[in-house]
Amino acid sequence: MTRLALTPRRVVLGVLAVVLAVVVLYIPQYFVEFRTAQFTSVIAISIAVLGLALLTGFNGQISVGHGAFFGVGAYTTAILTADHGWSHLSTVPVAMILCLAIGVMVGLPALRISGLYLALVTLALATLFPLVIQKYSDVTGGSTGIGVPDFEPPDWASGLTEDQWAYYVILAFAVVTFVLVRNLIRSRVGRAIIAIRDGEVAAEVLGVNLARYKVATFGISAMIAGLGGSLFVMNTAVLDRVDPSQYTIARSIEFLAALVIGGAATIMGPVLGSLFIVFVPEFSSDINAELSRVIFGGVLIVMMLVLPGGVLGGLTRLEAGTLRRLGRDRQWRRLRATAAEADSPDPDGSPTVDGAAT
Amino acid sequence: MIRSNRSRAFVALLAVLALVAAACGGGRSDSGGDNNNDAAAANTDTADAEYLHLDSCDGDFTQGVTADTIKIGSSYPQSGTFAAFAEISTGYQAYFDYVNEELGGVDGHQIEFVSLDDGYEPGRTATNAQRLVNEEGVFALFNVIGTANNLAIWDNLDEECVPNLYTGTGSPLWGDPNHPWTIGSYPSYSLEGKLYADYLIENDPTATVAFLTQNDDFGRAYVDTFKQSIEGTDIEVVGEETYEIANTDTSSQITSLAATDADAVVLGTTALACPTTLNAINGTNWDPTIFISGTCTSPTLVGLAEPGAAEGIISITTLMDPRDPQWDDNEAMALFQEKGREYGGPDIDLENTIVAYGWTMGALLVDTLSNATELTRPAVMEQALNLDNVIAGVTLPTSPFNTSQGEDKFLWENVQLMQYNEDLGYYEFIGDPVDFEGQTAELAPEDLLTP
Repeated sequence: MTRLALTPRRVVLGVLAVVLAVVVLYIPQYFVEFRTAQFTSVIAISIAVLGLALLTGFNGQISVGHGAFFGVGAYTTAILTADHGWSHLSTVPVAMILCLAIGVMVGLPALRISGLYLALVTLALATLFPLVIQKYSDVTGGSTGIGVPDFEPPDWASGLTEDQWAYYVILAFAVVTFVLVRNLIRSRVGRAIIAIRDGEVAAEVLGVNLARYKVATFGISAMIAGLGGSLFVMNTAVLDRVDPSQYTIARSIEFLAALVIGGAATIMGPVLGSLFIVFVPEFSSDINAELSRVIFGGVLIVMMLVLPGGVLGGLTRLEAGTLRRLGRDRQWRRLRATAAEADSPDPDGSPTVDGAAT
Repeated sequence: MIRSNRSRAFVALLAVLALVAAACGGGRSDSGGDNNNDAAAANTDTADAEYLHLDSCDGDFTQGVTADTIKIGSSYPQSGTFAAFAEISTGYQAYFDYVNEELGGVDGHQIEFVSLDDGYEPGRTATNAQRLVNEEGVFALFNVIGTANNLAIWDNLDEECVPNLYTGTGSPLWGDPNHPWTIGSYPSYSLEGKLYADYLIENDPTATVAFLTQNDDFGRAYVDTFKQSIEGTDIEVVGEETYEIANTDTSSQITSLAATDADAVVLGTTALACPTTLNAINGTNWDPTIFISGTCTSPTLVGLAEPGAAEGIISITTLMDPRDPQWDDNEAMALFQEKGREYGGPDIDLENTIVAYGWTMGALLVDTLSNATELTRPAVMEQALNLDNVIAGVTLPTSPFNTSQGEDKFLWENVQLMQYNEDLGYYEFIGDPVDFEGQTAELAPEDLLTP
């Protein structure tokens, strides 16, 4: 990386990043057990939504079936820990590889179909998953599900409680995953992935191997969703059980909602979206339990009307608008200053358009 | 461009986290297992109640009890397809209000009741249960509804030694002695399977039978016990169909079953699937003897069926039916009608057995709390696990509550077969009450007893 000048903007950014990091690390010390566990599920879900963002947001392939990959990851960890005595963390690579394989298998037919048709195929995946779980109840425990052993902190971390340990471990996985996906998106490969979304023909003309990229993106996306599912199960302080009713089509649709709410083609959008889908149903239920789903749906519709590009998209528009107004303001001041023949210094630190800094 | 994107993301995240923090509040205090349990355990007679594994309890035994209150929590569906079950709570809330107002609460402790909506989703039940314990600081959970939902919470509640009292489900699982802190309420579904089989063996020994059941353990309890009970008889199962929880339209399954023209059909259905299935059968030429899950029998569900569709259905009960005139002079029923009216609010449906069930559960809880040697979690749990012929609420005089020593945790094992008479508008009893005391575990197929 080239050396960066210490502009006020970067200072602000740095301070923000530090504050955010402190807040995120402090969460399990501040909130009671079940709230901490709720944040842990937000993190695990946001990983899965990030996987979906890679596929749907950046690559333009719609999947209504990511709840199934999430479920495969979850069940892999549950079965291996509960019935085969594996340690929780050692199941993670297995869950990821399994989901990668299934993702590639689903990605292959996705080469020939796209848009609504692909959505339907993945929809079938989401519908099938709980049925398959029920069908092979010898392994999966059927509708009763499987009790997952507690994810206890090891001796060197014995100062942490079960929920805190799970939080920090899953957070660490999330940070690594988010950084890796961010780097992927900014690389040559990432530009190819985005180019396919923006125009398949154009991308192909420019030498992008459509088949290879699309299948690989599907596989990696499924793998990340599986990672999220595997980690989700380790959050045993509050829920220590997998059963098919937690991995129905509703889960897939939740992921899509989180993706759209946060901002489909963004890296941090999935985090915002996951916070939304975990906390808003609870808050709406506190307002009025009978109407909770109606309130949730209403909030969703309002969000989409007001912020069609998701939360992050909305903020971008807001900033652009403010800049425009500030710009006009400055013009106006400059005009006035010229008129008064006094030199009005441009206030430093006002957000100038440094967009192309990279 | 990317740079400013990142700062926006950070700002947005911080703002959202601040919002969540403001809405939820913090206040974590990890006492590292320090609580007053030793003192509480020492001056209780529960020291000999080994089945409660008091040595390994995480929670505080007296949480939620103050000098003049006791806090009880519950989680049940208040929204979605299963919201019909929320009506149960109108029954026990009326009972709690009656006890608070007229009897001065439980030994001077006013009952504070908190409920959360879980939409019948086990994941949300788990969060709710911990929220009630961690944040609301409840003493015990009460009448949490749903088999999968209770399965999702019983391990953690057992670790914390939080009583999970009188769950709103009749799965044979709640008899598991390894989870002493969870106790069921409803007669086990497997008893129904056994009773329906016995009825056919006696009245129609060469009958052909069809099944429609929910595709989970709830449904399996009916099928497995029934099949086990007809082994070696001339009764033959000629058709089996299942439906998924998410899809309560069972007409296509009924069409296939009607083609078998079986003499009898067993419906291991619940919630909205009860009336839709009765309507579907009514719409065919098929006229079997219908055995239907006891969870369906209240007017809330069967009442939704078309006229004629519910005529003659056979089921079981452990409660007095408010519509049945034989209880008109019964004291317990009179109390329910009078105080239910007074404290139940304008919308309470006192003719409804599902409300009567709620009232009875409320009465059983109050009975348990006030007969416990003291208001600590172990003492209350020990009381719940040693009920001795308790008659509470509007339970049938022949259906008292009995449990023993954490070994027999099935409390309602004395059941009455009954048949709906649409002209009269209530169920008429068939034969004498059947006493299964201590037999639920033997009658249920083994794989249904452990998760």
